[in-house]
Amino acid sequence: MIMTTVEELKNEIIHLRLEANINRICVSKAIEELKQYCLENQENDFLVSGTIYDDNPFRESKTCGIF
Amino acid sequence: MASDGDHQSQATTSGTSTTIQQPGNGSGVGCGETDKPNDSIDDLRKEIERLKSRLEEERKKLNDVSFAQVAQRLEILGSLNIKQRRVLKGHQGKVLCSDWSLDKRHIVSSSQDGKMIIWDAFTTNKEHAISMPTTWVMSCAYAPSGTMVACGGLDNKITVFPLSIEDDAQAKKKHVGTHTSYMSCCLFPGTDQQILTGSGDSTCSLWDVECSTLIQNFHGHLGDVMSIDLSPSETGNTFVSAGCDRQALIWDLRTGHSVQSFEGHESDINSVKYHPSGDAIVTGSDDASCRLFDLRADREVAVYSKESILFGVNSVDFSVSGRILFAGYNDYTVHIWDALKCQRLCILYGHENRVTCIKVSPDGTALSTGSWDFSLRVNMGLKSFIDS
Repeated sequence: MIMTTVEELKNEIIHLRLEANINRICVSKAIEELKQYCLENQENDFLVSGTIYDDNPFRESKTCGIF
Repeated sequence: MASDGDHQSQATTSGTSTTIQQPGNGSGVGCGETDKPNDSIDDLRKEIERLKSRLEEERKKLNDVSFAQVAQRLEILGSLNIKQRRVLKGHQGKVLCSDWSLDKRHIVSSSQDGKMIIWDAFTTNKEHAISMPTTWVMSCAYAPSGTMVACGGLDNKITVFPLSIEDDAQAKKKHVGTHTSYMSCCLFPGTDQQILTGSGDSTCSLWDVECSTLIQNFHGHLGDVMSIDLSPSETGNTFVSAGCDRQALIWDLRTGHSVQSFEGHESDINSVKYHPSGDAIVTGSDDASCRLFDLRADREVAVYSKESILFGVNSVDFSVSGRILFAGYNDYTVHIWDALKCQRLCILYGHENRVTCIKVSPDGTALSTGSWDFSLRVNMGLKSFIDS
């Protein structure tokens, strides 16, 4: 689909102006904060740590010790 | 440019809190003469081009370091030992979509065969099987209460089914809304009362479930919308959508305006997902790459790809910490990426056809995968079972 109507083009200009005025931060700061978030939450990330808490439904199983 | 206060206030009233103008550094792109834009299409197109190149310049200015540099000193993750625990068999066609119930145990899946199945993923029992009047049920979602599911596909409709043991879910179905093309994705935005949908008609829509009315329409994509995701932040009145126009758009749910857009992929985007922090999104594309876009830096910050990976990505999801990125590919595999170090950690094999849907369970303990091989699989960390 190609934008053709004046209305649509105007909407895109409005959108681009909004976007141009976003307050941006440096990539270094952004990445550092993403990294911090991951590291702080890694302990409770069961797919990373491999441990599981007590009331998870899959934990109740006694019959499926192997796969 | 920054002195053009009138225009700024006008432009930002409909935006979110992030739309704050940077003072005095010339970043007030495209103000000035623009209060009375010329209506000729050529002029408008020129203006769009000008704004786009300015935007690109602004984004470049803040690109001071690469992800690899920041993550260099990070410890490498040990072996993950994520293994397949359950196989859910019962669909007679390609599995196209799945979703976890918040009870961390039930899964809803929809298929090309026109069926939607509610699974107890723990026992692998089918609790409900619902037939749709269409094939290719491309999307399904569990309501937060766990008492309702929604689905849609080639019928262009979003339909909800209340789930109860006594009643036949089929008899209680309710049409909530209709798109003018197929419905590719849907989700409940934190409430049973509303549904957000994305469609091949290149729009997204927010619907009221009770009244079956349209609350808000989201216009802006130039091609089919393939995937949507809700912002995880608590004040999150935003969502992201992505699709065949190769761009991801961030939307304000209340106003219906898109507030940010991200480009970079060389082919259709099939899947988009928020980072658990809410500050970034990841996309998976037919161009065989996943990309991470940071919302506050307003640009792409990482690419997950390798020369040896040639097949498209159908589905992406993060582990709860955001450290691991799961991606389902057309070559029947699931790749597990270290999202910070941008390295592939391992590959999950098992499916015998394209992997179409990947979902980490709400508490982050399990990973469900669905495939064109008609099956779903549930994967978990190895230690969790040795411990129990």
